[in-house]
Amino acid sequence: MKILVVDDEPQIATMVSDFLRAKGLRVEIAHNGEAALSKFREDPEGFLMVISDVRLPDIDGLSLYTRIMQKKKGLPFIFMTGNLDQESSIASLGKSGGIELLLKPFSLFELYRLIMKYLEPSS
Amino acid sequence: MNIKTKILFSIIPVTLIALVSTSLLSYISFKSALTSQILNHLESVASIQKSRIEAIISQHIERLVLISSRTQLRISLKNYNQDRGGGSQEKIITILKDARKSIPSFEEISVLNTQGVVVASTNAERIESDLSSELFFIDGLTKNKVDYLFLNGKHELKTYFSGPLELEGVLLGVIVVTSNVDHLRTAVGDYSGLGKSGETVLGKDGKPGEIIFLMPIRFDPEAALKSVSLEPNHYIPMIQALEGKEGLISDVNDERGVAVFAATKYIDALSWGLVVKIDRSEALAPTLTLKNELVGFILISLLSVTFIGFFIARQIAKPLSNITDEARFVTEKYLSEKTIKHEKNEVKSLESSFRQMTQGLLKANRQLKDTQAQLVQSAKLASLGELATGVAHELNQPLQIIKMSAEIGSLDLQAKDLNKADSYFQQINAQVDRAAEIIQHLKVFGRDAQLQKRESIAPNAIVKSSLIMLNSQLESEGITLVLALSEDLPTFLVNPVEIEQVIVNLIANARDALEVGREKKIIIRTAKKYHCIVFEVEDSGVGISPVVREKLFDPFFTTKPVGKGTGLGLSICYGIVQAYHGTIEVKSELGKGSIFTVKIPIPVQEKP
Repeated sequence: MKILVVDDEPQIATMVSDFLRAKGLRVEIAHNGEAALSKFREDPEGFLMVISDVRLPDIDGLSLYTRIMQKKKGLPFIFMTGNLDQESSIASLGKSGGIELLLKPFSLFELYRLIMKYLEPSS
Repeated sequence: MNIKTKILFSIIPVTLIALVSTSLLSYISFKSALTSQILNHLESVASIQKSRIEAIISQHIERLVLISSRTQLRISLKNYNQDRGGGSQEKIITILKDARKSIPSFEEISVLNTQGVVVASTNAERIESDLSSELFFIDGLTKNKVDYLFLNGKHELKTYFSGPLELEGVLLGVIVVTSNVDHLRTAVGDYSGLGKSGETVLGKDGKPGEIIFLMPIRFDPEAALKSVSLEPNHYIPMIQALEGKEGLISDVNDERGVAVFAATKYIDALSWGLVVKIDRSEALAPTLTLKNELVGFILISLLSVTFIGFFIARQIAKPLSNITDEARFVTEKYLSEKTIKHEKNEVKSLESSFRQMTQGLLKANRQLKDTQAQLVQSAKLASLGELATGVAHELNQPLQIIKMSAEIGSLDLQAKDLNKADSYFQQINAQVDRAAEIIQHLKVFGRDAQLQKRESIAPNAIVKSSLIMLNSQLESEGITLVLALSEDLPTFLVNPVEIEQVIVNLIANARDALEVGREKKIIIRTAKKYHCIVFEVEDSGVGISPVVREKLFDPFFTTKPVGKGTGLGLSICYGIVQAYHGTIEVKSELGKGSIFTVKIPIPVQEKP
């Protein structure tokens, strides 16, 4: 099972995926929303979770969330953002569960803990 | 009172006064001229009549004397008086008959003895009658006299003449002539030059308080020798004449009680009064015509003045009420103020609505200013918020990388993988530089242009130095660069580095807007318009959509791919241009290109 990491900043995407791989997780990287969607469509059942930046060059993280939820409702989704303003718009997505928000700059360990929170009960 | 009424009420009385006074003056002067003309005319007629009558009288006297002076007559009378015989009576009668024949107006001639008894007459019936009590006999004893008008049995007006018959200083008798008065009647009845009401009237004193008209008068053929008692205010001309006053009188009542103009004369020889008169109404008839004409003229003038006044008033009142309505409309519709309802006076109404509009406008202006100030404030806050948000995001990106690099680098150090750790430290270093660069950009943004670094420089020089950096790059990308620089631009006082930064930024944006496979062209223009230096950068690129245009000058807004732009370029340009109190404008059409226009006011050269 894989984790989908989406960020337009290549260095961030790379470091996050390197770290998670080092922790023994399988990771796919996308640098924009469309790429993320096409990766997800290839194998909807293969992903455990999506970690995405809110600001993306094409479609933004919130739209990405909505479109992925259409395919697979309830998939855990972690937003990363450096913009404090987006906190409220993410909160407005509802308390459907499975939504998390990480404010940049965040710690990789924190991210890992958050991922594990979702992975441990099922594994 | 509205302005129409006011104008009419002021024009009409003024015109009326002018018209009436002019008309009155001309009427009065016409009337007085006419009156004096009539009186002069009457005077000359009266003089003629007087001399005519006097001539008739003296003619009669002369004729009487012609008979009485006949010697044969007197001798025959003397003989008769002495012995009544010798055919003297027949001789006298023959002489008298001859005389009567030769003088047609003499109807009867008689000779009386000193006792007043008729001794001879052309009328046989008269002989032997005693006329000693007759006035003409008594007067005739001493002088020749003509003044014994009477009506005969046939009611014909006749007159007696009488005079003494003397021989060698001895009174023999009296000669008496009965004559018709045709000459007098002809004279008096001559109305020529006297119109329809004028006439000559002869009169004499009667008993106290009475006068006697001697001839028939024009309006009363039976008036001859009628004695009439004087009524107040009547007979005034005749009374004057009989008092011996010769002259002219106007506006007095004659025997009929009718107002007349009259000339009076007095005939001394007979103590007769002579009046030549004409009715005032007839004499002044032309003034009546004039009066009617003048009244007509006044009425027509008034009508036309009223009409013109009304027209003028309309011309004035109409635009006034139009302006008033417009002012009221503006006030109600655009200023949402209630207006006071119409007053009747247009000027006052205009004044009040204009004042209301002015007050409304002042109020609206104040509100606008307040709103504007609020808008500026909220715009400032908004851009500050946007800036803060943008800055946070932009800085959080490198910070995120730094944090993760530090974490991983730390792990690598623990694992003694020094090479890997070193690469993370280098990454940290690079990201710190990136963050610093962002902060450096922010320093430029929003501050005032630095006065101390300003220098006087030619605008074209700035364009050229901007191109030093970009020229080769543009060439290598196959971009056509067109320079349309105005040659006679004044130098202006700016910090050249800042303006260069703006130009470079605009050219760089233009370059990035150009697409492969289409014409690649950038035009740079400089010009002077009014008191501004104008820089223009035009490209034949993709153009800017309205959505993008709204955010064009927002800090950190970019359409460029990640890593290629900070989104600060235009916002920095905007900040710099603002600091010089200039403007930056965009015209753009999708698919055709964009034009960025920078206008910078030429600052007044400060004296050192």
